[in-house]
Amino acid sequence: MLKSNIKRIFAISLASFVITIPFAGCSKESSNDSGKESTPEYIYESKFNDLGSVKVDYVNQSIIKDNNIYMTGSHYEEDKKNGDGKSISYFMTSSLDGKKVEMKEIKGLKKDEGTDKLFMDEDGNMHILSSAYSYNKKTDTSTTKYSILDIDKNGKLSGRTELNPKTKKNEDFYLGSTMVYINKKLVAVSEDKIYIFNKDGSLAKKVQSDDYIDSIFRDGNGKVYIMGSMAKTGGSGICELDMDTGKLGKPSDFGGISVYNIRSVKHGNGSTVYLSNDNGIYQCDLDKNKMELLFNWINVDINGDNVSDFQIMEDGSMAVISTSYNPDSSSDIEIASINKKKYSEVKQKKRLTLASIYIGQELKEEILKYNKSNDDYHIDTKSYNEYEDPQKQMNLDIISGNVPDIIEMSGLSKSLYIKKGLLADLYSLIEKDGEIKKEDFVDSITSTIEHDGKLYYLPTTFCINALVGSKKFFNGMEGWTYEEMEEKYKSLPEGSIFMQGMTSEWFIQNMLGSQMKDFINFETGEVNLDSEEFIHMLEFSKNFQTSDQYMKEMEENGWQEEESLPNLIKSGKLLLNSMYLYDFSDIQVNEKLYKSQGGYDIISQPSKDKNNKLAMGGSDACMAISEKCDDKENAWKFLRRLYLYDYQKKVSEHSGFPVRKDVLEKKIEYAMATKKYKDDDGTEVTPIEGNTYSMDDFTVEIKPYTKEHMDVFRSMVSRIGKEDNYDASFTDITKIIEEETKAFFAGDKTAKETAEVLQSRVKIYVSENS
Amino acid sequence: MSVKILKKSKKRNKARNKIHLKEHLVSGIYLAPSFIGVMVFMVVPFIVIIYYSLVDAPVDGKFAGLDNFKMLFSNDAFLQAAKNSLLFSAIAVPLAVVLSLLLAVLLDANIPWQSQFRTFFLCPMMVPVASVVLIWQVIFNAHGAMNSLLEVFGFKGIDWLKSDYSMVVVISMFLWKNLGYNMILFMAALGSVPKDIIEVAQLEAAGKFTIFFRIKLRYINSTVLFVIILSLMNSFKVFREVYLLSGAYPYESLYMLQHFMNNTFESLDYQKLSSAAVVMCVFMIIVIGILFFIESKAGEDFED
Repeated sequence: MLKSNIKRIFAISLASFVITIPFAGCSKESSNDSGKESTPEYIYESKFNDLGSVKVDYVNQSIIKDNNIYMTGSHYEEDKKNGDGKSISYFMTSSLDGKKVEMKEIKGLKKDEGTDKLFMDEDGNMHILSSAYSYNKKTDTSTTKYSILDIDKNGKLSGRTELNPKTKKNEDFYLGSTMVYINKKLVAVSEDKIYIFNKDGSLAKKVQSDDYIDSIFRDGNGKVYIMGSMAKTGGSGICELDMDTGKLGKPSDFGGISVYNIRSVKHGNGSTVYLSNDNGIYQCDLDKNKMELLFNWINVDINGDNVSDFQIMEDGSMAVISTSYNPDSSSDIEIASINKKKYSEVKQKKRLTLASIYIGQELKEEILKYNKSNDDYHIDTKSYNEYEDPQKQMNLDIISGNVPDIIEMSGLSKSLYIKKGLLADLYSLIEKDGEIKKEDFVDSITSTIEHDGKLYYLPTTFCINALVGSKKFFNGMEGWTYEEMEEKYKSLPEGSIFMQGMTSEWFIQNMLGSQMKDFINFETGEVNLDSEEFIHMLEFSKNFQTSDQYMKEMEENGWQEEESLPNLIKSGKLLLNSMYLYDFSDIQVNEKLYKSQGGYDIISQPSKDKNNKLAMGGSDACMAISEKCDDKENAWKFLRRLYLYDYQKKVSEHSGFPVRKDVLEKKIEYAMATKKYKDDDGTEVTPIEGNTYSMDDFTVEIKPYTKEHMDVFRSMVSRIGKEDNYDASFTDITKIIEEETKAFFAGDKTAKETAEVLQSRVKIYVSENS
Repeated sequence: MSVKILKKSKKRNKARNKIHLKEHLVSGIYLAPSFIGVMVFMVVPFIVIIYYSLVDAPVDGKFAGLDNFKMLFSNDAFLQAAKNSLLFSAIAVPLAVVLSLLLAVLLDANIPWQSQFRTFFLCPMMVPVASVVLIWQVIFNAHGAMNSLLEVFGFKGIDWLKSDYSMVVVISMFLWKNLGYNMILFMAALGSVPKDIIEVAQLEAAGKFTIFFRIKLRYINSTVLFVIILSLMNSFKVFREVYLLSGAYPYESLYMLQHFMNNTFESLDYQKLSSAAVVMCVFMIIVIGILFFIESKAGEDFED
């Protein structure tokens, strides 16, 4: 009896495990204690050969043949007397291990003809794809004529074949960056069409695809493939082109890895091809439907944005040509030889991983500089922009133990990672730094992003998000409630508008995004979407068009607003204008726009407590160090470079304001300069001139800023008190709101009914996450 | 003499034990692949889940004791999900069992068009859920067929999926999908009831209800238990239909336990997810234990 009871209990328990497992999911153990990916068997190592500078604005695709490099490029020469100019095409050669590039002008081109691409046919002969653009004023049409020019290794043109695509009137014809020469036929793509040209340039066949084609290439077996966006799957796919019938095969999606902006494709043996884009080089086995990233450009110390071409050498190594443009209208050319080596054979640097959805240009260059100059440490990067849901993929990597050392937090849920204890306190590292101090940073920025006195992430630059209204109307008001907002709007004259381009959906999102804590508190789990205020806000939002209505109207009006913004402001018929300040120019622009209204006031989003806080948004990069990082000190040694004076100065030229106080003051000083001078740090400072801002019939010439302008700016900086809440939680909640408000805006539900459903759904969300 | 017999008996026992041991070893070897598979893919992951439920962070967490469970039971979302799941199972499972049994009894009575009737109820099993959900959405939409019908009879339309009536929609979907299969199981069970006992009962002037409740139902009680367990398992899988109907965050009365688990997985909240899974497992052990106990008591006279 006892035995049968024990058996019964065991059976019940086992049955319960079976029932409950589907709900719990499985989790694999970490591969090693440090929580990192295990060391790879192979690694790619680069060796560089600097070929110096050449006087070209850019270098087209290049060819490597017989250990020589052949390139074409062009340089625009301006005739300062007439103000005209012309583009000169050059043919350049060098040996792979050479130190210099030989340049020669390509003679024999027609007027307005430029060289687009240098390529090699199956017999090893070199050709140039050239294009000549012409515009007919009478018919207001433009055409581009393509030709194939034969060129020898000395840069001499020896033949010309014009391509005749037989396009219809008004049909676009623009050849992409990749083409294939096979069986004496040239195969090229233009958007969603494939053109197969005979040797004499006549069109042999035209194939129409359902989707946009990114690139065309061939494999080692002579089969031709196209790669492009697949509308059905939403990702990219590859399918075979039957050269005889012109039919396209079934697309393969390679496990959902989407690879875009292919610059160059080289075929290996058999069905293997190699594709390069600005992320890295991918190896693709077309028969086995497999694609993998061989290496990321940054991990081999190359800036992917500068790669113009690559070649697979006979010994299996890769030669990569990089060109970078200089402000003096020259280009630096560098060749890297990339070899696959056993991990144990390469001198090991300690590797730190930097993960990001997308790595910006400035950050990329800084990583490359650091890697090249550091003998002990190397920053490896992992970019998640190719995944459909980058946040989810990063979460999965973290859960499975692959926690990056450094995380670039832009677009990721900061609150989630802080809650999970995944981010380290940067203040503890700043305290030990010695050179960088907490006081070096703009106070309102650090106080806004601190959590319980700790600093979990730090942006490199910042912008300010605010609303602007006329002084006549707002009279110095900085903060307001929702009721005051409605009153102000109702008191405007007939025919006035709230904000140009405002739609119902955007209104709700905007209000919620900047003042979410008025309605949703993640800490306490309180949700007040069924409050009178929110219901009122919903009803108020009906004053605006829906997004669909607005888009339709814009389309009918030729994408022009009914009345221009300057006229609306001048006539006093506009309540608010938005200001997204990432440089100082909007200060002067709004000054002139609101001159007739007695000036302008900067107002924050309406809120329950009438606070005047402005939102901080947009940044070049937002850096954090993982709590799991074994070597936080050295991770900080890289990170601190982004907060030093020089980098802050460089990055804030294009991407918002620097977070360092001293660099911000310098930026203010330079903007106020009225005469030329050389600064202590060697910067040549010239007064601002020649910059104009135009909108319809309104023009502002931006001049050196005054103290009054900068007082406005300083006041805005001091008012920063919140972040633009565009993280994953905000996205999830706005998605729910969008779904539910559709019926409300269509008139099927009242504001109260909509608010009740929203309250129910959002409460669940907040309870789950609090 | 007796010592000799004893010694011989001991030797025989030893030999017998050796043979048994050998048999057990050989059986063990044959069972090993399945056993290892169950351990690796079911038992070990569940142990990992228990571990996660006892630590405070998904990566290198510290031991947290029962804190995660306390947090779970004070979490409104979990309580709402648990309440909805229990309510759904409490209504849908008995309905599924009783209705399918009734249908089986009806078909057992040799009604006309029996084959067509059976096919009609089996068809929903063959249809993929994703393709059917769209039809249900259309029927129960605010401007759908159901509301049009209500308006014909003078009633006001209901927002079926965004009100407390949403449970009605889901229960209807569940019954529509599962009645057929349960009915087949009951039909097979009813077919296996010994005819001679029924004949004897009929001869002794037993009525139809008496025959059904006192004989047939007692004979098929193991099938009833099986159908209850199966329906209970399927009632938890209804998340699939609800997710397709109303997404990851539906109206509160549709928010089920698996919504909670799915969403907490995506938001890296392994503590809540794991502790919820453990709580569910314990609950299921108790429920199924009770069912087995009832079954063993109800079927005692037949086993004897």
